[in-house]
Amino acid sequence: MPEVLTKTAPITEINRSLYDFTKAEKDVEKLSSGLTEEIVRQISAKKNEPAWMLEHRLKSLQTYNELHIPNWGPDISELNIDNIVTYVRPNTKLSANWDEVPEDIKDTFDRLGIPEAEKKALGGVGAQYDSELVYHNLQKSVAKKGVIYSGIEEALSGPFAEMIRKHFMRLVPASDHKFAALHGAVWSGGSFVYVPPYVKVEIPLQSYFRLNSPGAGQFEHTLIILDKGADLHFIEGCSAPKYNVANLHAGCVELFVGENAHLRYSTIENWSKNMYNLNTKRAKVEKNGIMEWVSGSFGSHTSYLYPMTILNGEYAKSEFTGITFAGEGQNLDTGTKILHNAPHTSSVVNTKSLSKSGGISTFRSAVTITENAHKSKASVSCQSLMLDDKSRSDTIPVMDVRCDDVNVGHEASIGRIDDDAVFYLMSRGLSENEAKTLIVNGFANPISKELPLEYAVEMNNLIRLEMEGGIG
Amino acid sequence: MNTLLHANELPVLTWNRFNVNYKQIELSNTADSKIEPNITGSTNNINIKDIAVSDELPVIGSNNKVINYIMANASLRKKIVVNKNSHNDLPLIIDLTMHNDDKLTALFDIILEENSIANIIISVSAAVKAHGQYADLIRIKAAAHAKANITFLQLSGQSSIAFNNITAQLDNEAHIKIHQIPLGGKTALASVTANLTGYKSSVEIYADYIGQSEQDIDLNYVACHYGSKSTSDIKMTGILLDSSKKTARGTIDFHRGCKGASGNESEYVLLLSDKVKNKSVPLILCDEDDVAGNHGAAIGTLDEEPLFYLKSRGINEKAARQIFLESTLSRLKNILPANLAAKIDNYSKDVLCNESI
Amino acid sequence: MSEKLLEVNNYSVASTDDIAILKNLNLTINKGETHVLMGPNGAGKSTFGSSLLANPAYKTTHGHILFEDEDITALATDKRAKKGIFLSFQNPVEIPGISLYSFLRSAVKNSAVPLTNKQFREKLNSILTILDLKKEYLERDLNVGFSGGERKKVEMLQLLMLSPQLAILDETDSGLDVDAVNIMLKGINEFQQDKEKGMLIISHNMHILNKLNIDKVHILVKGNIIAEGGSELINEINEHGFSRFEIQVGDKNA
Repeated sequence: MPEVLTKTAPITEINRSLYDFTKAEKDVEKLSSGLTEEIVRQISAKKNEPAWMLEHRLKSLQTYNELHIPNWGPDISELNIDNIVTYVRPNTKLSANWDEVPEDIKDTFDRLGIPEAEKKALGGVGAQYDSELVYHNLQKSVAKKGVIYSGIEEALSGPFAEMIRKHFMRLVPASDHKFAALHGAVWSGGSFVYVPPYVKVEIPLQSYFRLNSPGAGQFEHTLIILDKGADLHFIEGCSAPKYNVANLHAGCVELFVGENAHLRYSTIENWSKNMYNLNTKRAKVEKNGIMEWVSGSFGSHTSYLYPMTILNGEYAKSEFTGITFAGEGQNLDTGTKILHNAPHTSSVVNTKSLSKSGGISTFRSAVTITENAHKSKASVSCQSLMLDDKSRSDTIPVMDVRCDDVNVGHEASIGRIDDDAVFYLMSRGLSENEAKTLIVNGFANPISKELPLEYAVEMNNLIRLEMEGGIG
Repeated sequence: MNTLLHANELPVLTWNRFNVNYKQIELSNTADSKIEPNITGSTNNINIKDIAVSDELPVIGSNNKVINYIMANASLRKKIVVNKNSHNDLPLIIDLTMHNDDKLTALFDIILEENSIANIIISVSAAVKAHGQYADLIRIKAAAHAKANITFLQLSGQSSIAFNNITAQLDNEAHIKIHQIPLGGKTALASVTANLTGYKSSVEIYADYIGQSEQDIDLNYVACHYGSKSTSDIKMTGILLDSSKKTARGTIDFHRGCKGASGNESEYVLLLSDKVKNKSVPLILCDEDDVAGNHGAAIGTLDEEPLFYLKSRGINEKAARQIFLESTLSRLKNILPANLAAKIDNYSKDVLCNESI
Repeated sequence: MSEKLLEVNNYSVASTDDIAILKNLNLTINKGETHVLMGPNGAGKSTFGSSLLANPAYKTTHGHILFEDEDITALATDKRAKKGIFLSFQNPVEIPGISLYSFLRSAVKNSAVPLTNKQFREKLNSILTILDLKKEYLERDLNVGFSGGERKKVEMLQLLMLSPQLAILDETDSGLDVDAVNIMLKGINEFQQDKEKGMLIISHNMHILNKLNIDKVHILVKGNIIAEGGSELINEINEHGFSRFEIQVGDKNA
């Protein structure tokens, strides 16, 4: 144990300024705020995209206007779409050469450690700044295997145009909920990945999203298609500086996991605490396929985030590992949805949530076993830790079982840090805050061990950051 | 002239598409049938009188529209006062018998005075095929150190709707055990909302059901912890046969200030037909750090391991299902007085024996 | 009628994922005999006991099981139980929702010798007394929340209630204190009274074995029966452990 302790960096070293810095907006092109047909047409026109996409955008807009905001979940009445700028184009074009990226944007990603990570551990990197991708690169060794990793808009006019048309917003239709419709209308930027049959991508690919412009929205679309037997680990990182006005993130992630394919999708979300994160993520898994989600939610003012897995083929499997840390002023409603729609499918959900300094964290889940899903198994386990008596933590699961020969289990527990454990550590010379930080890190450990090393370190830093200033 | 109600509302809403936020029902506003309760058993230290408008209990928990409906319709209004310091171990039995096409709306106020002990059983039953509507609200107020077992047995007819609501308010160190047995009815609703306001107050809620045929069972349990060191235990156990449906909501709600409180919730559902539909929504809401809340659920059919164990004793799958039913029924009969146990026997003979298990 | 109760011939068993566990076993238990199966951990002892009742976790890859001269290799678990084979589980399974009483009543009704309600109650009461078990246990769910010792006693209760032809006891005495072991011995002695019945004890507790009449001992190492003999083998293992036999298997494999 002492060895672990000496490795703990002093708490004061970590500083939120790592993420919380702003850049002046130089020569950016910004559409006016609000949402009208005119704005949607303008976005479409700038992108020079196929006609079906404009049609899709306009239809989505119509759906958006018809749908209500949810009658459940955190309050989003302060989010006024009339004040959100849906499109902000940085003063640059998409580049595959880091040197061509403008200095201020380059500096931003440098400070976030993105190019360094690319050198060390990534097979490819995409970087989005406000509404557009500014950098996209794929290592030659990976490209040689036939793996496609590019901007999705760019791919819309290439050889994969038809494939994209067949998959785009088919998993997450605009009618799914109001913010999916909003995404359908104003989406911009994001990545497209295709992994050919039986190709194993040995090193992870990563997309990093940075929202710099105040009062703006980010609506990137990520589409990943794994062909039969393919294998990929995709990492997504997000951050933004804090402004006094509301920012909105309503991205959409659609993942198609083919027969015998394996996809791991990891996210460390650290949006600033003025962000409304209304993101939609969904995966469809075919026979014998495996989908793994690793999801860390630390940032945002308000989140609605429930990555969904549809187990659509026999013996398809999914695993969801998540952690949510809600601090001061945050209302994070996170969880997952699983739909078992074929025989012998199995799913495991394991989540941890923490609440501190008045933060609200809610674990929300839904496990559905349809009439088709004979011999399926589902298990959900969620643990919540209350770090003080000013915060709140709710657990809201639904299980919907329509088949008898199945096994569905659910476990939830809620409580606070064990006083005896704190006393034990303090008796060995740790301060109360160090002791609690150590215990919280231990609580989060099952999640961080699922992440690549650099991200696990980042997550531990985020936890330490949240714990800073003393608790209890 | 019917009233549309959102019954058994979930304290915190979730996705609408799962249809678990409430149960929509339609209740009739025609005049109640005249039904006199048959009251037997321990009455020495228990006073029963009609509820006067002047002595209404503060309404706690439950949905206002539901309460308004019961208040407006109730023809049977009884106030049961258990005297201070009196220990009534023998049960007080209130037996309601309904006939075909009867409608009954009942309001019971159960006042447990300080340090009293009571065992109260309310039963509503009808002929197997009877059509009808039963709705009630049972309001329990438990003073300090009061202890009570409250059992509600529902054996309505197979084409009727039964809606049983219990609310309870518990003072310091009061302890109440509520057992709901919603066996009958085409649509069977049951709910308990317990407000644990007192220090060390505790509530145990048990629900037992056997869904059969096209039966639709809808349950809603809420334990609200306000008092420090208050405890709650919600246990739901059931078997689903044929094309029956069941939705169970259970909520442990820790309010700020309930230091040292603990709540447990568990659900065990055995699915014995591939046409059944089961929904479970176990919530833990927590606004206080010094608490311990736990939930566990197991939903499914017999696992291979226990099935092998049973088969190694010569019991095949079909026989195993039969023993599950018999075990449940005999457990329920054991907690009821002989005349009510006999009603369960009849129910089992008339309804469950015909089931293709 | 033959004196043979159980006979396994060239009997091989594998797990469902095709890992061989038992290899070509031959063993015969005659009526009135008590056999002991011993061996180091992982030898396949429990697999053998469990496979005699067709546990779906295993499959027979070769050979036959004859019970009272009838080939039962293809029979399902409950059918074998009805023929009179009883397995006392090493880890009895918890089954919520079934009370011990309903279970016992149903199991006895399904057995070869169903009892009337009155006979059932009388027999149950006398066995509860022998095993020092309280009546309250009958209303509890089967094995749910029972301690290790209580579970073993409840297995013995079932054995005596069902009075099978062949009883297989898998580590019946493990984890028990001295008093409980003595109660189990009483149960075993009770069962051994009937000279038409047989017993196979899977155990490595020498204490219990020294107090029983043993007809034959089989030593199982890595899925092979490597030695057989009388109760003198028990004393040898008591002093020297299984190393001699394990070396023997090593030689054989080489």
